[in-house]
Amino acid sequence: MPKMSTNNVDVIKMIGKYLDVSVGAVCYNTDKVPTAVLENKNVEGFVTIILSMVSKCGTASSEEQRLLTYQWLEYISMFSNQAVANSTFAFKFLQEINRALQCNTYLTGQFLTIADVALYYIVYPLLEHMSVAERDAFVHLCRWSKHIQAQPRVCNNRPPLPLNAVSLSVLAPAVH
Amino acid sequence: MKIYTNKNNTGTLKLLIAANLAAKKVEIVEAEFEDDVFAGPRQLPLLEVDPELRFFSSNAAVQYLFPILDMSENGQCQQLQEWEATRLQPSLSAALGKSPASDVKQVLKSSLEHVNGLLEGHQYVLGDKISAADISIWSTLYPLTHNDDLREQYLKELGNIRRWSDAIGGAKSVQEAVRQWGGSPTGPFGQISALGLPQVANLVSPAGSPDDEAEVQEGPTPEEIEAAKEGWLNGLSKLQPPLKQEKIVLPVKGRKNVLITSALPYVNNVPHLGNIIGCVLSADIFARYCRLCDYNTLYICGTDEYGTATETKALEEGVTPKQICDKYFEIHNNVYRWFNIGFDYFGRTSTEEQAEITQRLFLKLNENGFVSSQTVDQLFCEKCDRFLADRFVEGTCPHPGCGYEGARGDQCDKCGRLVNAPELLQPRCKVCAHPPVLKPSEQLFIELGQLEPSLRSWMSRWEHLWSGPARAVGRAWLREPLRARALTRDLRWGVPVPLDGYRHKVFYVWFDAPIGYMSITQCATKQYEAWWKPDKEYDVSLYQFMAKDNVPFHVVMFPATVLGVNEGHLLVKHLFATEYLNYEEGKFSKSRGVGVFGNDAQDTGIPSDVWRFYLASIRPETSDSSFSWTELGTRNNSELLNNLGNFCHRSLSFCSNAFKGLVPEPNPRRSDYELMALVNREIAAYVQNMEKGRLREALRHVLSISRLGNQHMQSEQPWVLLKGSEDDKQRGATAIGLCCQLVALLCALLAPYVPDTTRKLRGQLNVDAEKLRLNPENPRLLRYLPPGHVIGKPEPLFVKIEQERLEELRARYAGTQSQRADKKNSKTIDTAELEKAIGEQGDAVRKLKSTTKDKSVWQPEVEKLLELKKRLTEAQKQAETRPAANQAAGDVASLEKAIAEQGDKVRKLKASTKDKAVWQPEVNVLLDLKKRLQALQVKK
Repeated sequence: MPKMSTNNVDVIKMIGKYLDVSVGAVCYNTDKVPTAVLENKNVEGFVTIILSMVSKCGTASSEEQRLLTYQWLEYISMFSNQAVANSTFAFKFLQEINRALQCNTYLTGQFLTIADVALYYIVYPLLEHMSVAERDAFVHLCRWSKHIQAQPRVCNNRPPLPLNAVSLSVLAPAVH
Repeated sequence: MKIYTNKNNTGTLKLLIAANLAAKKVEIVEAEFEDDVFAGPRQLPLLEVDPELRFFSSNAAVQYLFPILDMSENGQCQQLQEWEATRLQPSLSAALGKSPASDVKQVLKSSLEHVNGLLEGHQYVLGDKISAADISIWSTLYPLTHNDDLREQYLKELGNIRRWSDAIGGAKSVQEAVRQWGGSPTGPFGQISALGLPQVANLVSPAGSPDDEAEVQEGPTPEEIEAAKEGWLNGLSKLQPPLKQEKIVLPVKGRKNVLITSALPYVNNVPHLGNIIGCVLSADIFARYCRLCDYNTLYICGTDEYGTATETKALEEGVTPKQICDKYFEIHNNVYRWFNIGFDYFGRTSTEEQAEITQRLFLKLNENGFVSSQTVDQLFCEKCDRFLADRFVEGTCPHPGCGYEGARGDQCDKCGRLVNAPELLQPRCKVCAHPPVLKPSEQLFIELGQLEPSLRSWMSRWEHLWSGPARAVGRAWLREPLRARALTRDLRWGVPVPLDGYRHKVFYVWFDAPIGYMSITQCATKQYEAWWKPDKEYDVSLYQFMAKDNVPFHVVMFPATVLGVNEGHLLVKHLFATEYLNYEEGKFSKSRGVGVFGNDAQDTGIPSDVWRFYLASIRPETSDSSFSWTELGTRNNSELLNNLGNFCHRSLSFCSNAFKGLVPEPNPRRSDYELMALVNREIAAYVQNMEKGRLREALRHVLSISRLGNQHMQSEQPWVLLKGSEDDKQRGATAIGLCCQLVALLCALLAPYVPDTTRKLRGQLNVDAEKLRLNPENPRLLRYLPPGHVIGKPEPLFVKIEQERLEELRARYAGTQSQRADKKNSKTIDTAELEKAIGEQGDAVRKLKSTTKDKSVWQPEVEKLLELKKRLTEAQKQAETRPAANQAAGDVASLEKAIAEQGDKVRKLKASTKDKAVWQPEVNVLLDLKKRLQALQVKK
């Protein structure tokens, strides 16, 4: 069976849909760095493209919030390709994130940011292929995924992941 | 504030510099990844502002400590920091590690060149003010800039970096930070993340395609190196014997025989780029690939000519359907010829062969009991006095939950499901909008329901060989039970039905069009059954290319017909359907004339090879993709010109200049075989993708080969080696020899995509096409250029496309075709273009006059020049008067229209209500419009 995977260019396109911002043609340049043309300018890099799309939407956020979003997107940009390609690595990658969500509702704390949505798109196929038992190692991540996919416009055409509600809320209650 | 860090971590240096520059106090706390200080990803350094606010990314922390004041540069600063985190830092760490591979060093070198370029003419990376990006990059480069050996190795020619590094390093606060940091430039360095080093994307481009099981890229294994060596030494002798090209292509025993079709384009319009990449160009690239592998290949296509659309168009233009077809056949033929589509035969469906085969298959189908007759009530337009073809009835979609009002009688464009015309709700004649009436007419039907079981079992056996979109459409079709489908209709332009009682009717175009593949084969070979009913001992496969909308006819209707006929006809094995290509942000549309059409591409002056290359590189293989002028330019300039063209030209020029064109005999060492092994991975991936019809993916792997070649050239530096010792000279010669062989390989692999260019390149290489073949069973680098081979004269292969030119083209092809036609008529002659032409012509005249005194030679050129000057004066006069007048006229017309509409609205409102409060605002709008019109007319 071919493995379903989501690469960074796919994520950028899905974010474009989520934000309802036209990204035009997104592709990898010769260095395999995602490249988009926004307002007739070449924008390179996963983080940079996403942040420019967000700023196009005109959503205001505090400077701290912006930096926290940046650091998560940078983290995704550094490691998500490996996580998508290699299941052993994916396990370690998800564990790091699971730890971060143990004490937080969202990645950056109390507010939903674009980093949550981007990470959800990366995590989706990884969780999708896990058995219920395997998912047990990532209860916080599952609780968070369930929360993110309930947000408007996140799911687009894909069905939400079937994450068992009862056991999740008992094992990993949301932290507010 | 606390900084948790491990020892000698350059990330920590970033934080300390930022804190010192911003005069903020920080405390350093030692930590390891095993410690219990992390509340998220374990990365070091970790900046803790307070327990609620922590930064595990050193770049985010630097921005926090040393915020950018000018927010306009925010995006650039972040882009550089992302680049630092994902590319510079990992490649530097890898290059400083144990026995780094040569391509890692290469990536680092090009990254350093990038930084050096940013600093050209600037004090800092983002201009003349220090920013967070400077701090991040400077700290990461600290091990290079402060280690004499590495500085010599990497920064010798990068003066800007040395200047910038010394300037920053000289600052007091930075020196203080380095002291606090207490690290050593010789390492070992503290790890940044518990997950290890991020992989640098595309260090060696990945071998598998995205949906294959991805693997972690590693250097070549000993087996791969051995195989590369074997291929290099003996591969050529193991290449399959060349296929003798016969005039008439018929299946050959013992060979792989490939019959390729592309969906027959309908003859009522000019094909656009989406049609071209979806069908004919994809099939052509594949056919050329097959010939490269010595598969015995027959590629046929033709125009689909019958049907109501032709008949109606003929009525409109007052000519016969045949004349319409002749006209558009020529147009199609010319467009495809310009695109270098190498059909073995480009036919048409309005032939005797077509009628004969269609009738024979139908009679057999009838004999086998799959045809029934029914009296159907058909829509008849009394006003037009004719039965209405499905496409000429519109109404509301009858499918529950859809209800689209513009559904056509054959299919609903919104939900994509088929529609039976009489089932449309509120039907109307498309020509006169009169509601049609139902009138009985006896028609023949094919019982698809009875054929469904055999269709299902055939489909489940073969669908794994189809492209994703084809499989999806096929499955969607079989979700509902199949219904009988009408075979005949009351028309004249078509294949007559050979059955008493129906002889005045013709076959439905959906039934006869796919049979066109057979009849066109018959026209091409006179023995179509050799291909379509092949002997069991012959290996014949049918490959069909089309866009998604054509899939139902190729996976349901046509196979059902063939299965019903039950004479062992060939069925499609590989069905390569594409998704849709969009134009810029919208859709290509033949009917509305939006997008770039076949003849437009020709008018742009951009060579057909560039079009072919670009279209192949955006082929909508797995999802819709978009055509964009900017991207066309980028691909041409960065991939064709900088990557591919540059490598070929450099390699051959070296050979030509340093060795008088005699390709040096390589004496490969282990590192050369390693390169060959990496190249072989790409060739294998190329073949694998090609065989699955993933032409876009395959092309990517070709580009990776030229990238590997460029990297090799860069790291070997033959220009230095050739001036060195005997041993160095030998190495330099090997590098050049190997690069020339890679050029030959590229020439072979690119031939399916850019036939004109590769023909030129073969001339420069001085080899025949027959020499540049591929062994698909064991694809690898061969020694295409034999010992003692002398190449021809190297010349650049591609030309840069300037941004301004693209903007011009984008503007020219905006809107619909008819809008463009209007624009053209009222277009003022471009004075700039004329001025340029005059300049050039002037030069030409001067040159001529200086070389000859013979007036008869230069006089004609002088006259041309005078003529141009005259036109310029006229154009300048026009330019002064015209635009203003045009604009005013346009505005008047649109205002008048708006006034009329607003007037209607007001009248309606006044009729429906007496409440002034309701209609007064609309009246005000109307008055305002009238005022504006008046003002405009006065001005005029």
